Amino acid sequence: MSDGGRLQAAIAAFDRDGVFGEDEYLALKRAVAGVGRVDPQLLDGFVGLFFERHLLDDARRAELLAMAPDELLRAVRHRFKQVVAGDGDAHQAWHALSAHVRDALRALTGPSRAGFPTAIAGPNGFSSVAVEEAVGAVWAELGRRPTMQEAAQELFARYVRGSTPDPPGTTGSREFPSVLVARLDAQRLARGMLELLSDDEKRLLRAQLDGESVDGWAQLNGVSRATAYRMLSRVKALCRLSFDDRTRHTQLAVLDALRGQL
Amino acid sequence: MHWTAWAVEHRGADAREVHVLVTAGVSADEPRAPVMLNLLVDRSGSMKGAPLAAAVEAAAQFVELARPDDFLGLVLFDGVAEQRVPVSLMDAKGKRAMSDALKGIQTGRGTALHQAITLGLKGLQRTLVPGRRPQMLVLTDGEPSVGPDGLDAFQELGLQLSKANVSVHALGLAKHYVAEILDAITQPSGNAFEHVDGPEGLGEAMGGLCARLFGHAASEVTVRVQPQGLAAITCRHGFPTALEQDALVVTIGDVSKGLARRVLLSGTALADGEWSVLLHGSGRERNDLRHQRVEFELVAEDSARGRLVLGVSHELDLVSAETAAWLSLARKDLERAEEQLEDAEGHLRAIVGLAPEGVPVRRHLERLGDLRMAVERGEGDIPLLIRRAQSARAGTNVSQVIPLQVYRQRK
Repeated sequence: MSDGGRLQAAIAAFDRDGVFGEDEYLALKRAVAGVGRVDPQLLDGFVGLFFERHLLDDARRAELLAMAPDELLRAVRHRFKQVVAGDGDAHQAWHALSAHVRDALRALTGPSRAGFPTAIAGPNGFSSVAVEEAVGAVWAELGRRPTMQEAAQELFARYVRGSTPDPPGTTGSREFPSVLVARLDAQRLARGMLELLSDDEKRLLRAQLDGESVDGWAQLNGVSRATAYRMLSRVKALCRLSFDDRTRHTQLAVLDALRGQL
Repeated sequence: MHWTAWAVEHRGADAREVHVLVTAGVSADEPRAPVMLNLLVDRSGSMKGAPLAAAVEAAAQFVELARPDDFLGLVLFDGVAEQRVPVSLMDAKGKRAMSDALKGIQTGRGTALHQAITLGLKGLQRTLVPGRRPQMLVLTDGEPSVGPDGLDAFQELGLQLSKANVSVHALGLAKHYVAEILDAITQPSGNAFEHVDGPEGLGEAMGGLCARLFGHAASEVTVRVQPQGLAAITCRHGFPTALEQDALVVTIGDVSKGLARRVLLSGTALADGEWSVLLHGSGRERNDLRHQRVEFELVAEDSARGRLVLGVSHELDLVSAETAAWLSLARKDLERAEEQLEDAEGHLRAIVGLAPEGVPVRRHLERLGDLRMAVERGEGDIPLLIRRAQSARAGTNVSQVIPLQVYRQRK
């Protein structure tokens, strides 16, 4: 089957049953490979953003499904390119916020009585705690559970910019696929791990992932053997702590994400 | 001041555990209260050279940051303590007097810490500035050698300072000061001492203290807790507490701009019954005492707020187990130290799994890494590392861990 055919089958399966598994994700990823020269670290994020804007929306999905496989492939590549090139910062902020809002809606059991927090972002980006409080406040204001888009739009308008970068579609009868959530979680876990490592420790981890020896790395970087092993013990401790109780699949996804981010 | 309270119910094997995290914060945009501070600087022989130079530079930061409506004073102490600059207004004349006094410091012999603190207290009680909370900052690198030197005497002094409404802060330099003494004088006023490994770290630590002291926006902050349907409720942080009939009153102390303070309360729910917690917060802001009912919100364990509540609980257990392990190691009880280290690592594992926002995982990871090296190979400067762990415990216990960005911004 051609790439276009595989992609069409994947979108059709999602449209029909709401299923978008690993194979479907790979079909989409293959279709957009090389488009817009995306940094590998950001690819999953952009695929997620593309999914949110073009495949989650019922009307846009139906439009794509009506195309022939080759035409569909061209259209998807073109739209993905637009997602990558479009209003950079605002799109990235929208995407980052949406991920937090999605998590908040998954965890919230009811509205919040505490009102909107004064800010939802700190020096390191969006605060998941503050976003959760704010989503709870949106829930209280609407008097019902908001949809992901309603909550994200409200928070974006209130805290980030007056309007969303490119208003997403308003219809969505399907859930955001768990395979994408897992990819984004792996990215986030990898990012969290890297935040805990010093620059030297990051370089050592990269060398380890590339199969270099610790002694060789120490010699090449002018670090004493004892210091290198001390750093390695810290890196290992962090990996042990982070990977504990995670499935093999998640561990591999995180290692993959680490490779991309280092 | 804004308050939040998030509760998590955790079903254990045979009981329902309840954790309530109360946070008191002041927005970073709020105006800061004017400061009234007596600065106590150790000039004993061990401070000679780089430590004293770094201490003088750090003290100069205070003078530089002071506004004309702030009051500062300077006590210098070796075997004898003297109030070198009385607590006075930091107008041009006051700043000049402080700078001149800092320039000419000579080291002496002995450390009259008790006498210095008593003198510092007298200095603060000599001048009344309406609406100003008197504060004291002690900077020392050694153990007391002149005058009272027992822990009891300092515990009593800590309580005396707290009764006099003086907020005490302390900075311990290197590895010869007595951490328990600094804890005894700071803890009753709801503060923790800071540890610095050497003179090079003094500037950064002082930056953090400046953020707290010069960002001071609310004082006398307390939270009153009345549980319903709970078998008992315990304040897990180390803040001073009191029982008032059917309520637990926790004294948080001061809250600075952008540096929220938290109290974790844990209890066990009565079998299958409904439970609730009535919370009242109060604090003095711009000389007004404000009371407020704080509504708590029950959050899911896997929500961002739920993970933070559980993360704070693990963090408190981590620092206790870590300090205990260091003390076992100092007593050469390796087996016990290993057990306590594993306990601490278990809590760190839980924290990493929860990934709670704002818990300084990297710092815990580093300290436990040092502890493992010390337990397994006997490596590391143990007296210094014990003090580092004790300071981390003290800070965590009063939720006074300053984020690194704040250190750097305020430096």
